[in-house]
Amino acid sequence: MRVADLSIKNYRGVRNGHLRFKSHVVLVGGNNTGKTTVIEALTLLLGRDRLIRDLTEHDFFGSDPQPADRMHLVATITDFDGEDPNAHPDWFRDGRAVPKWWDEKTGMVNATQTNASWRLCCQIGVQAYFDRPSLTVEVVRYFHDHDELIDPFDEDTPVGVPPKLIQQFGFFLVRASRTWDRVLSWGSELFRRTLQAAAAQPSGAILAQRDRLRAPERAIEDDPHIAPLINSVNDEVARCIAGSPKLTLRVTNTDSRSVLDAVSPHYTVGAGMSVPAARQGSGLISLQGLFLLLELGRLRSEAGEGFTMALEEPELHLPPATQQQLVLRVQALSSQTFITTHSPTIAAMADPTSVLMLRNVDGTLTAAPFLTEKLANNAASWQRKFYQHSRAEVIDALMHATVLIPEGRSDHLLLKTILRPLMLRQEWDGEHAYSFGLDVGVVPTEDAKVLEIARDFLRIHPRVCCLVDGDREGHRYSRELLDLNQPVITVLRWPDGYEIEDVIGWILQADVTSIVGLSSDIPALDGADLAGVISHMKAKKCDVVLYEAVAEVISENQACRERASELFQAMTSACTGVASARYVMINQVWIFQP
Amino acid sequence: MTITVFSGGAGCGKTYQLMYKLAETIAATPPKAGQKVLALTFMHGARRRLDEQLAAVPGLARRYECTTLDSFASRIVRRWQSLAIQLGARVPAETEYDDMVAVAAILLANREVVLWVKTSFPILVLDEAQDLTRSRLAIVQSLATELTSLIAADEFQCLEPALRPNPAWEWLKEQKDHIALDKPLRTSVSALLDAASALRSGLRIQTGRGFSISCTPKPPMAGGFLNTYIAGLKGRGLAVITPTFKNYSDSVVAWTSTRSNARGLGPYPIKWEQSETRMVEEALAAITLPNNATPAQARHALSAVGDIALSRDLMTWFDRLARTRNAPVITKEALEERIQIICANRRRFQPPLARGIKAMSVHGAKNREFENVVVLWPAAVTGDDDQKRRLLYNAITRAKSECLVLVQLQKHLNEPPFA
Repeated sequence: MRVADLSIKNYRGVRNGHLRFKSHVVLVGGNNTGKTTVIEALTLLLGRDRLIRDLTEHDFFGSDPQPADRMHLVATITDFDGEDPNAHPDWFRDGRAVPKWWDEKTGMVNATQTNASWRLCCQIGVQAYFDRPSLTVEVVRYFHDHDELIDPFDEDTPVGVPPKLIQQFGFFLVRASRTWDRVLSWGSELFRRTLQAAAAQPSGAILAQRDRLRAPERAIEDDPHIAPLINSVNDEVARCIAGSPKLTLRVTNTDSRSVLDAVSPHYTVGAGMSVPAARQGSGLISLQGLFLLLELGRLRSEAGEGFTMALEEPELHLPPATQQQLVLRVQALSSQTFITTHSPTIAAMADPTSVLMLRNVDGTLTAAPFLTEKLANNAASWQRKFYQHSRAEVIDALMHATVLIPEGRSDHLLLKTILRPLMLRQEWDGEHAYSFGLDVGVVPTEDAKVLEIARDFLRIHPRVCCLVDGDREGHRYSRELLDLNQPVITVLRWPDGYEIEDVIGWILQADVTSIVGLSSDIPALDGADLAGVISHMKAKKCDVVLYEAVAEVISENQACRERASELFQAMTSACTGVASARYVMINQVWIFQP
Repeated sequence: MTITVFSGGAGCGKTYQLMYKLAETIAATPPKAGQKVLALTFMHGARRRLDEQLAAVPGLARRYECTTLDSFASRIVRRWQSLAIQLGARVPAETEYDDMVAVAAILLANREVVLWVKTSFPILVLDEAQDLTRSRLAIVQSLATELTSLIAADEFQCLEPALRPNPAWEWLKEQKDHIALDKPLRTSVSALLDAASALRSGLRIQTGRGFSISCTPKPPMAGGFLNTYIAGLKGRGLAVITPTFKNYSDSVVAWTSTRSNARGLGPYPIKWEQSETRMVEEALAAITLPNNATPAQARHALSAVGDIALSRDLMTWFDRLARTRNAPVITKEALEERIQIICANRRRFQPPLARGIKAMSVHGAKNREFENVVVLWPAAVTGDDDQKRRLLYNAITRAKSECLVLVQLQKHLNEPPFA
């Protein structure tokens, strides 16, 4: 079984949202777009009760729910073996779900199967409302029979989803805020469940520990430091109570339950002393916890039970290689996974059609797959380079509020190389180049496919900007981009006759003496003037050594640094549609004003 | 799927046989985990009695769901709403019972819906099948294609003239596994048995020990007669049964309830078992509500309602409206509908008061039994001869020990159903 789609109404930052899922989903999006909201919505729908957090007014969109306002979630569950409702009596019968049919192509749910490719599905709904008189949020989870209005709190009495089915579905969640140090002990439900499924109580060892604690070799009360006190207590007791009981001091309550409760996980490295988990680095602990969870997943899938795992930010505490290994293991062992991440590395390794780019515009949440379908064998070479080889960089750029598509790789490289030392040198106030780095993600465009990439990105990103040269081609690109008739596209163009190298020239011009510093790294530029530097840069596109040398020169010189800063700040403004002294809109195109 | 039919007159043990067969069936093929027996009835009173009988079936151990056909139909429609809409049906309101049944019949014509029911309910038990209207019958027939069905019926106990010839009977009598029961078990009073069989055959009925007929034209006379009779019962159970409430019967019951007769016997308070519609009418008459009232106004108006249980249920409803809707208003129509639903539910869940003497319609007496029965037979009983025989049959066969018939018009004694 897996979740085929999810619709969200009035939940947290989402007024309205609809998402469709494949088997191994990776949710990518800026902060506050709703990655966690999606995971928490799935938890409300499919999680066991103890996974579900108490809801408050803040869980409703707008935080001020009126009596008639409902939070409303619906998930479509599909992938029932054999596609026959009668083969799944636990799910489909009177008192349980009504069978429905899911059209994978359109995402529509139908009442009857009129097309053989439609898959058997059922829908689970959750509604909640804020009950003003009691100041509590009432929640129900039920089988969602139809899309007509169902109000479980007013007129209707829907059919609840029994815990048995929730258990069968097997939804497990690892939140971003993890408390792993208690996971490997009997206090943790996960541990007990895994133990139950995978092994047996280590009863022999526990009983041996109990007996040892009952009759310790060196009893505490016999220690000469404490013995006088104990003895006088015993004497007092003997005076008052016949058959005087004797005081002894024991570790734990000396029954097996207390021994289990007292067990605390430790880790030993090499021949060293074992150290309690709470004092270990978070990486080791979270890894152990995850592996325990995966072990449970393995056992469940062996037993033919469902195992769906939602994992928030697997990159936490772990080095990149481990992150990747972990994600692969999770995906291999689960019938379905939901992973949220801020890590382009993780997003880039997943199936690109399963990577969902979330966007939230005024409460409307949408999710589009990074690619709608896998790259065909005959895909153009720029597509392979851009979407496969540079995927991590592309996804990285898409994680920004604005994505900027320059004409070529060299623009991407040059902008990034110059920005980096500027950000390192930024001071508490004055220079604002860093906002470019935070707000604008630049992609490594291949083969000047500005138009093609912009068209692709419109599907997945709310704010797409393009940056073109001030030549004939650049004019043509700007025309074609504007012809796309998409108000979300912002076009930036260098002034006529300018390419990015000329703009760098403009920065260096702030203090031409600065270019003297270039010759130490680039002997060819020994004695070159500004024009020479510019033409050298144009001849040596994507030369990292050259770019870094230029970047260093700029960052070392205050006048140049200020200009560069001004450029980045102006670009950030133009990208968000704000005019500045350096950017003016002419015929719908933002033109840089050197 | 198999269909087993039990038929036979009142008191022949149809229900008993039904339960016996059910015990046999579940012993042979025990229901799987989560599965139950589905028992359908018509009225809520009957549901309660069937529920009690099912509770006593050995091996069943409460693995049954006893519900009225109409609630079952409304559940099917509610859950399969999207299929109903796809099939072009309109989804009726909760109180449109007949429409609801019709849509459920359309839905259950689909095998997937029947299988969905069967997965939970492999066995169907249905008593009084002669009362099935065409669309209710269609529901049962669809269920019977897949569910093991145990059905009891007596064509002669059908009181609905529109159901003649009786469609359910036409279907049931064709079933191969049909057990006709003809040995009366309810009573051994021969006069009662003879009268019943005479009515079935359309013959003149004879009185005798345990069954008598008197002509009492005026309500005070009938009332006085009734008082004497009640006094003689010394507290043994009695039901007053009549084909129509109006005029004569109402007056007789009122007289007995408030007056003593010439011999100083009485008064004996008798309570009418109210029909659902009458309960709703009375409640509505007691409430004066401004148009589009707020919950607070409605709450205030409720103080005039004598029925504490009803006003408590309405309060709960007002409270829920106030909690779950923005600025709710209560219209007369909504209030009426709500009172209807509450009354229907009440009949579903609350047993009628067991104490005291009750008066009821023949319809309300169906399928019940009382130690003693007094039938009030007013001048105006509508229907053809056959219908009148059925009415009287249903009334007198409720008695286990004794039955007294008080007839308003002397001349009726020489007409059907009496002759």
